[in-house]
Amino acid sequence: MSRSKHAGGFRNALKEVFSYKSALIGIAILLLLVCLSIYTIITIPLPEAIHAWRSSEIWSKNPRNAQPEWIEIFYGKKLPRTIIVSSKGINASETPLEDGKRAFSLILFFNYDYEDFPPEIIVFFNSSYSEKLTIDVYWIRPDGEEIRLKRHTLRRPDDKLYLSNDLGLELQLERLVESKIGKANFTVTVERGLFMEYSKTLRVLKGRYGIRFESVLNAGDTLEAEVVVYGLVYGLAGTDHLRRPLIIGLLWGTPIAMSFGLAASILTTVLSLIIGTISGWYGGVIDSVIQRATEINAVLPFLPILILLTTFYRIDIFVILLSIILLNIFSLGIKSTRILVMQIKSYPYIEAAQAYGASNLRLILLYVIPKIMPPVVPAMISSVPGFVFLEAALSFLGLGDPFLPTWGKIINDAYTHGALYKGFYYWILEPAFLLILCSVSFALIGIALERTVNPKLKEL
Amino acid sequence: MSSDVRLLELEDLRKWFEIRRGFLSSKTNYVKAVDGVSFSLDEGKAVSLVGESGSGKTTLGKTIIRLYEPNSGRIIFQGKDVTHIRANELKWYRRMTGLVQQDPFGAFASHFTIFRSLEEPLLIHNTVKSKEERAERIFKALEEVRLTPVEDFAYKYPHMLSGGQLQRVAIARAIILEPKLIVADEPVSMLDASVRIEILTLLRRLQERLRLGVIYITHDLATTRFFSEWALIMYAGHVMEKASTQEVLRNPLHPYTRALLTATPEPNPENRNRFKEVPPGEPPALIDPPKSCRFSPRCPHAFDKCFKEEPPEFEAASGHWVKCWLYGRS
Amino acid sequence: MSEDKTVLSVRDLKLYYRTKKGVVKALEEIAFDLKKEDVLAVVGESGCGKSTLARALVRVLPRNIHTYEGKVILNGRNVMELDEETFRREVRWKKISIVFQGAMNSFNPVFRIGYQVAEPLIIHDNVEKKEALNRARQLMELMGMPGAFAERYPFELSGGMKQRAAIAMALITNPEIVILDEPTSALDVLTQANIINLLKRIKNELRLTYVFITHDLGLASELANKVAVIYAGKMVEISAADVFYTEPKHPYSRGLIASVPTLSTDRTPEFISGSPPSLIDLPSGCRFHPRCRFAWDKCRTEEPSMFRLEENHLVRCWLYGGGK
Ligand SMILES: Nc1ncnc2c1ncn2[C@@H]1O[C@H](COP(=O)(O)OP(=O)(O)OP(=O)(O)O)[C@@H](O)[C@H]1O
Ligand SMILES: Nc1ncnc2c1ncn2[C@@H]1O[C@H](COP(=O)(O)OP(=O)(O)O)[C@@H](O)[C@H]1O
Ligand code: SF4
Ligand code: SF4
Ligand SMILES: [Mg+2]
Ligand SMILES: [Mg+2]
Repeated sequence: MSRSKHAGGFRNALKEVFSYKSALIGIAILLLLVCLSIYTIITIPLPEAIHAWRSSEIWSKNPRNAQPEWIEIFYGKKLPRTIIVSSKGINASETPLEDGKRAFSLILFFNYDYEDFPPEIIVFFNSSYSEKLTIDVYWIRPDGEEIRLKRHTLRRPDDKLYLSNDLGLELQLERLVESKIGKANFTVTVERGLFMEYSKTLRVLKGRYGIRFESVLNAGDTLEAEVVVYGLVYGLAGTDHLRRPLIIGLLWGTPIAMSFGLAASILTTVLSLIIGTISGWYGGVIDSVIQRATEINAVLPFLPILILLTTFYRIDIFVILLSIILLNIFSLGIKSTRILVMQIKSYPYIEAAQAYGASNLRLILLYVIPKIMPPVVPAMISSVPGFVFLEAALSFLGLGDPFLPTWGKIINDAYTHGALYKGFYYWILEPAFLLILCSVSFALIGIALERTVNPKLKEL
Repeated sequence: MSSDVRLLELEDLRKWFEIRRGFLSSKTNYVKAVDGVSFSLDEGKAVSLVGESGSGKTTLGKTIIRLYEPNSGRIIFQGKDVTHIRANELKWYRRMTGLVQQDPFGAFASHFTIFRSLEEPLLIHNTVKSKEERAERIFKALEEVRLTPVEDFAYKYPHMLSGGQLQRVAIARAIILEPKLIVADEPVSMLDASVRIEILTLLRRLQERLRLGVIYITHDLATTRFFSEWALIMYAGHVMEKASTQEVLRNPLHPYTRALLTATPEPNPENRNRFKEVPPGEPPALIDPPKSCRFSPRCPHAFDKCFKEEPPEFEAASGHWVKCWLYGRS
Repeated sequence: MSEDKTVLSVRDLKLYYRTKKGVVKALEEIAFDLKKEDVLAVVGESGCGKSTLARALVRVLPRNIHTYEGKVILNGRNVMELDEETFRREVRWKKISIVFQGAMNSFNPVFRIGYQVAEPLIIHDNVEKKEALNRARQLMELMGMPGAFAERYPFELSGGMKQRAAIAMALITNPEIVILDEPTSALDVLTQANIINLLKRIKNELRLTYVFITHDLGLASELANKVAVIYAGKMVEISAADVFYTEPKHPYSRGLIASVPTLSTDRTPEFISGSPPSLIDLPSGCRFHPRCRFAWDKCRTEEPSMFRLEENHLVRCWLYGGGK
């Protein structure tokens, strides 16, 4: 109640906040994240995002665990992107044979200028047939050499041909390489055998490659093929073990993390504020009950309870939010609010207001709460990162929302799929970076706000 | 006390505060802050409540305007018993009474402008409906307390005003609902000597013009005579002497009143050459005050009876009551 | 009553504080002389610089000092020239001690009163603790406190008792001069009268010189034989108490005296309207002119200096010098 305390200087406070460089940085980052969130929500509607995140089918033509494209900067060479060549729009040559059969031949060409080998090659077929359909597959290298790769019999109309995992093919190629350059001092995988220059050093042969399919079609049969030469890098954020582009998860993680953090911090703060105020204002039995509750809450093990909850109930983000709030409102914040309120309650201006007939509700809302808000707001902003991390941590422990793509879940995936041990650092670093960015922005703003309301901290 | 219209009447009013001794003890003790006070006040008149700190002045004042509920006794306001009224009746009583507190700096919510602070009572009682009328009332009240030009003050925050100015605003707030009774609890004790008289004069003028009953609480006997018709001397929760202010000052009867008068400093260069005859010691603890005369441990005139029995209030002269065995007809 | 020996002489004392809003000119051109057993009452409104003067005399200053200069001559020696260490060792508490405003509420709640009273002895004179405690006890008894109170903690004492202890603490090192900054302003009249009696008694017994700071002119007359009135950081009048109370000269002094309500006369108290100026942004000319009934053009532009009316009577007002 000191006289010098600024009263109603909300605008001044704002001005002061803006005078801190750290706050400006915080606000800039926050704005960036908000724009990102808005962009995400508009361009990838949530149901679509959830659907995309949950299905693995639609991503089958993405590389698995591809690093982000910008990683090339560190390698200093051009890493392969995914190449998809489809027979759509390309005329296969068909020569009629007897009994209405047709000789089918299709060549798909593509350029390969990358400086590393692709991790995987798959051919997707799309056909309709009445009898078994057998396809011969040939590989045409830029130097004109043609290799017969395989005879493949379709098991389904939309069968796939996994070239990479074919041990027979690998052996065949190894022999071929050996015949060209002698015994190689590296393992000849399918991809290497197909794309290497025939020399002692392992190098990609750049140029125009082709893949030819030959078959005999019965009357009415159709055959389409699509070759996917998977890349080592993908998009801005890379892909995960399910070939999903991480960018979707990262983008959607932003609004989720921010709204989760804000909702949790605002709701816990407001509710504890209300409870603390009631406790301090009314005193007596209500106060005792609330005090005991906070003491019990202080010794309750938070995480185990949450784990217990999640094993019994189907959890989604709202259940998590609710439980976090419930377990946090009876926090120690109540004690300080209560003490503040008891102090304010004894100020003469409260008594004056009672003397002119102000009701308890009015006193609390108009006379007490505004007085305790100044330290509460910065504390609230500063508590956002804690909740963001908490959600991430819960997801990481497998206690997150099963549907939503969140940063925590990405880290969880990465961790359980050995990202660190396999060297997929981007998989963990990207969500971690955003997590920290988000936290730092709130923390910077919170600290600046705190300084404006607490003159003692100003000198720091 | 006169034939005028009676505004307030207190009958044997008591306010005891409960205090619990320790955590396990079931025995409750009481601070007997106001222990049997009776007096009456007419409309438009002022009474001074004089006493040392802890004598129960503030408690009595707050009990009268029902910020505290009395433990026993009766408060009659305009002929109506308001001792234990509640809800709507109490709200009416709040409108009929006003309070001016001791500390002007603490008396206002620092996040409200002066205008907003003055608007609060009007909003709560909804006596003035439109915003324009409210503003008019607020400006009028500020004019009443001579805070002009009113626009200069209305939109300031409390910390921008001096103590004297804030105390005027406090008075404006106390009269804005057009009450009949105002309790002014040491309204000038935290202000500078040069400002005190100004505030008291202002209060006195308002009292006369608006026909307010004023209960002026003070520890300074010297100010009572210009600002009140009646004086009540309190000591340790009891009223020791009551009479017209003139009478109390000219013809003090109670030993405590006399001690107070002697002790009150007066500007006089002769003072430095003499010692003052004042009783030593301090007022008793109100948890366990003497059962007999509460001033007896310090009284220079105390005799046997004083230590045995509590004296009643004797009417030593017409309209002059003293709670002291010296004036007992026995 | 007093000998002819000047014990304290202050000349041109100036103290400015540095604040965010500007320089607070808290004290300027302070000058007075005190003889042994004199009591100088320093009176004035809140914020006029009374406590600043007290602090400047014992050099207990906050950190935000802007200017601190002038002469403080103690028994012929200008103590302003001493370095902090010498000042602490030889002057503060040894020669001139102080009862701070609100001292009774500044006791450390976790130490016994007796120890706190004895502390200056232990710190300044390196007296052994036991010996010091003994002295403290004796002194507290002299102050009219039961000796056993030395064992009590501050919260176990009433305001009057704590104030007595604060006075004892100022006296424990046998100083010649004691500065009393509002020593009774938080106390009841009866307690106040008792403390004033006490101050009178020990002054006579110990032959002390007081600088008695108060805003209460009535109270000032209880002790003072000299009165100095401060307005907005400057002394506006200084004279013998007998003269001051019967014939105050400066319009501000007159206003102050007229504002004291009295029991012994029928005079209705008057008030000085307006309020003192900010010490950051002082009015031009005479600092009192915005509130002065007598002000004329000259007052608004030129600042009066101290005019000597008699040997010991100085007034800072154009009414008394400099020609009209
Ligand atoms: N440390 C400080 N920094 C800045 N200004 C100060 C400081 N201490 C005092 N002041 C200012 O200096 C002026 C004189 O203050 P001082 O405490 O001496 O007044 P005072 O006459 O003792 O008042 P009171 O009667 O209220 O005790 C005031 O305007 C005050 O606000
Ligand atoms: N809310 C309270 N609870 C307990 N004791 C109280 C309370 N308010 C006042 N008292 C006690 O009642 C006595 C009278 O206090 P008060 O009315 O404030 O005196 P005054 O106004 O004359 O200084 C004091 O002993 C004080 O400690
Ligand atoms: S009753 Fe006795 S003790 Fe009490 S005031 Fe009168 S004379 Fe003194
Ligand atoms: S100099 Fe002028 S303004 Fe100042 S006190 Fe004297 S008459 Fe008043
Ligand atoms: Mg009181
Ligand atoms: Mg002071």
